[in-house]
Amino acid sequence: MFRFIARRLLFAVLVIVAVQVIVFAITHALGSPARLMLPATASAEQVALLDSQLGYDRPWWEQLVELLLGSIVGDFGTSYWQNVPAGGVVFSRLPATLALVGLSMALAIAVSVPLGVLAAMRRGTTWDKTIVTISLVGVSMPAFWIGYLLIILFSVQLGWLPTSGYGTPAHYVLPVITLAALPIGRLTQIVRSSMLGEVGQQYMLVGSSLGLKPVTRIYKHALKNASIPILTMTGWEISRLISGFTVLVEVVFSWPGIGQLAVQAIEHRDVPLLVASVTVVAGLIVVLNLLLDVAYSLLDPRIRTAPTARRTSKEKEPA
Amino acid sequence: MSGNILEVRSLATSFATARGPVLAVRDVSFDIGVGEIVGLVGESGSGKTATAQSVMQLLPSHATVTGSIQFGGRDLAALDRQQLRGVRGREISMIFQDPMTSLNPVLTIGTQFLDVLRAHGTVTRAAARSRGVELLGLVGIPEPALRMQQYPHQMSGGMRQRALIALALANEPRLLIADEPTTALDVTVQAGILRLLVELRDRIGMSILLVTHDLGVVSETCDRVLVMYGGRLVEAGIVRSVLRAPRHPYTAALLSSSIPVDVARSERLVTIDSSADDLHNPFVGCAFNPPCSAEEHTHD
Amino acid sequence: MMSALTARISRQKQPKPTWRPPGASTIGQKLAAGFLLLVVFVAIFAQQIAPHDPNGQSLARRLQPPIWEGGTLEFILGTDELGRDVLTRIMYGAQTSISIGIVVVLITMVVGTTLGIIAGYVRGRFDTVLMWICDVVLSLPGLLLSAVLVFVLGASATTVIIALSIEGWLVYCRMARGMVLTVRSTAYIDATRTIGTPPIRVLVRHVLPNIAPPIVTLATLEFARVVLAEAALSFLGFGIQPPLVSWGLMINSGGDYLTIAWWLITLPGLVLTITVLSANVVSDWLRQLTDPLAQAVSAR
Repeated sequence: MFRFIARRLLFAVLVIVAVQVIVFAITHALGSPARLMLPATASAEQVALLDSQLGYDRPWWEQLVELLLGSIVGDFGTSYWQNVPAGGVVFSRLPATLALVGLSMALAIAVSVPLGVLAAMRRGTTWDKTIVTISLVGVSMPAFWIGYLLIILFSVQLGWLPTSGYGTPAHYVLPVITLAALPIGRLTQIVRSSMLGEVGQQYMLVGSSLGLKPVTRIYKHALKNASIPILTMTGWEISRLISGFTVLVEVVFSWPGIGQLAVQAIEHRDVPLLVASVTVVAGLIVVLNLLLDVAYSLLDPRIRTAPTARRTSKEKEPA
Repeated sequence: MSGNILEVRSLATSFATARGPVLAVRDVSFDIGVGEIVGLVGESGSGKTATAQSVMQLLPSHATVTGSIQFGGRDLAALDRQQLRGVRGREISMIFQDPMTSLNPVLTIGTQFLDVLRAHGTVTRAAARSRGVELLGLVGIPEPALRMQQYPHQMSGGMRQRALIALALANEPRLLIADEPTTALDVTVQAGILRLLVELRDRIGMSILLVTHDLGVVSETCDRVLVMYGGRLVEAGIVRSVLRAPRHPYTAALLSSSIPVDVARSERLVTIDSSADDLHNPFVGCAFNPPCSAEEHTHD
Repeated sequence: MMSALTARISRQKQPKPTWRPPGASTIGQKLAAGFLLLVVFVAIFAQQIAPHDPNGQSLARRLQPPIWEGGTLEFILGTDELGRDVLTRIMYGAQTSISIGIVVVLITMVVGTTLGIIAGYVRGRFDTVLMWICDVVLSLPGLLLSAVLVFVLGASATTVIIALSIEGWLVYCRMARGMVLTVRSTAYIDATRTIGTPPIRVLVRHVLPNIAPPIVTLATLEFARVVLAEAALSFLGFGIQPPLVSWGLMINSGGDYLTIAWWLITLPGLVLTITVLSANVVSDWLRQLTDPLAQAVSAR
């Protein structure tokens, strides 16, 4: 099991390095980042000046190494726009995003698992068809649209909830629901199909023949097995979704998180801040995936305990 | 008092498929006495597994079962889901062909025992554990206490099958239905399992319905044998007499097609010139009709 | 005896099968396909059928509501903050979004599938490296990186296509490679190698027909995703720029008028959602049609 985790850890590190390399490459692709940061009308001297101020005139490998090493300790240089260390700004925004993502995922799991199980157990019935339709709609709606719709309905028309901002629990409601929508749709589909996969398995028939209680069979036996493919499929997909959708939701609701920061950084042409926020977002994805990998390895005893060495059946076996 | 633990009359099972209903079991009737081991023999597609599963009402929802299945004074075919659950694992148990997939891979053997015992009564964890250890010992698994903590993938095929038998016995059923329990196992392991089954019958007086395609197994372990072909029961009787003097041409053909040890290399092997009936178009009359070589014969 | 039994069974209520014959489609699927065709039609002929000029501004008639809220027939879905007709802009938006979607899907499908097939055939280091790249890149925050790329290259339809293509080919690669590996290991491919069939022929005759259905199914799914991604980029301001129209852009500018002109956000978003939903439904339908396993399952 530890070898498995170690491999996943290595992969995680690789991803973070890759993100930084890619962003670095993109921002240096058409010349120095300074050119990007200054308005188009800036003269060549101004660009060169900024370049040397920010260290962009050094050889590229030197810059890259500094970037990579610096990111380990959270040093991303200084934000051009806000004139404070970029790392500090990013990390100050982290809690808001974590809260949003954490609550959304919790909501998604709480809703999807029962729905998915229900759909699988009542396969082919109206329940199943309704739930499948709901999940299809869930994955088709753009997050920003859902957000606005909810705002129009609940804030503007009904006046129940604030339109944007951050602070009170009421501010959390709409953003969390919006962000959870697509994961609910996708996760329900995954839970349903995983459960369907388990229901046909031989051990379920055996459990039936032994007269096990239905609740035991569904939740203890089938779901525990189904949770393995659920986790493996979820981690990959959902964490990608989270990165994209969180940005959109934060923009719609003016949520002071990293996603919104990244967008603002791009708008303000603040390369150091942009690099910092994109890297941290990637880091979030990677950490989320790692946690899911750990959960998956804990759940599947075949990974946790290696099978006893294959003995020849003639020897140890009681014949 | 008939001394029969199971009395099946006119059992018929059909499956709904895309091409219409398939009649897998046609008008099958048989008895199983207390403490008897009855073999149910047939080739693939003969309907033997369907018969076995019909008794326990374990078939999927697109199957229809008709007929009467008298067990312990009740007709199993007339019970509802709740009542059936009470019977399964408690008065009738079943073991299946493939031990590799029959156990839940993510739960320990101990947990699976707990579930089985709790399904039919209240037990404490400690009581369940000791009962499990006792049962594993009964089926001949060494170091049973250790095995209780293990997962299925840590055990070999033969051991898993024994564990499954132990689970099936946990609530002391009166009838055990064994559907090809040794087909997926090594020959050496097979012998052990079969010996265990006979031992169980001797020790605790349990009846066994042993479904198999292997006449050798039948002759070794069974008291009576039922022969199925094309969904029908074509012969029934005490093992010795059936094997010595089969009345139905199919049984005779089965017997003669088993390869004797001393067959000379140049002799041609006897084959049965038939194929499993197309059960979509059930043949009225003798299921063995076209290849039937006897002029006239009677059968049940 | 037999006919009486058959009669009894056929009179017995047959269990209602929960299958649909493979190939039959539900009304939802037909609607979805129809809607997609409609959208594509509109996208192609927007210039001809749109009632107005998408960029025709007139401050006099800004923020008119749709017809059912008091608007006029001339601007049936209302007008935006600059007096432009919403219906026209939705139509032109379709043109942009659909064409970008199709272009990206075509590019990524061809590139990804080719690379995947090569990887599956050649194996070795190329394959390992390619899969590592796929794994890593698929774990990256796609939307943000696309935004950065578009920002650096300058926002336009072309750069959006480039950005979306760069991350889009990976899924095809994975799938194509997986399928090649599966097909390769089948016995009949080994047979062709034994006979000496040239690899190209194996590829065309055997591999491609097997790969094509799932790839096409994946392509429809990807189409849905790309349309959403373009809308997201345009919404954030890193996508389509005026004078071109995109649904995402419309929702963006509509955001400022959310309290007074709900139709500016709701209507384009609705069309976007239904388009994506239709693509998802059609993709599912294709999968049902082409996946033989799904066909067998649906016949139960």
